[in-house]
Amino acid sequence: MNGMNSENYTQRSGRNARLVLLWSIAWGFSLVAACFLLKFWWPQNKVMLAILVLVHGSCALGALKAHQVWLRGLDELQQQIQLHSMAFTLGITWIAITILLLINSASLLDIGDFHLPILAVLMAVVGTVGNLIAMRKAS
Amino acid sequence: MNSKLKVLRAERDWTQADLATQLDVSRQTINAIEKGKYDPSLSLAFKVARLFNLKIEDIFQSDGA
Repeated sequence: MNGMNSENYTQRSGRNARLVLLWSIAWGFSLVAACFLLKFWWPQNKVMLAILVLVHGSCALGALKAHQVWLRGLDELQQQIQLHSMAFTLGITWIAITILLLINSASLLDIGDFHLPILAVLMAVVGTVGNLIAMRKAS
Repeated sequence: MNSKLKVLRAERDWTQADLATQLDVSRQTINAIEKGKYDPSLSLAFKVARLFNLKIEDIFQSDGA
């Protein structure tokens, strides 16, 4: 089926993973750079805002595409592991959001901009844990 | 599901990595199939059968069989 591939599975998935890493770094860097430049260099400059949003959006799309290529290049067990990990992350994120909303509605906590990055960090940590659990089950 | 993958592989003196390369999957997948922790898809089962020149049922048997 893939007998004509000059690259084997390990080489291919390694190359795809490196592309994911590079695009993710570009995405993160473009976000930090855009925030920094708009705050300290060109505040209230709408042209620069448009350019930086465009650059950041392009990096985000590149990272998304790299993730898709990486996922499609994985074998069926690895795809299943990633699926379990993503489902786990989505579930935990929903639980965290509903708990935050509940606490907010009870006026115990005021949800502000500060809590949104915490959700992103929570998703990253839960995703890693979900991945480790699924990998452990399969080995 | 039970499989004779480990026996067939050992008969040919292949490592899990050798078999993984020939099937274009990860070594972890071969290990999981051999340990009965993962049931391969029909497409992968056909690939395995073709590689060993056997029928699928000669390599994989359901637990009840």
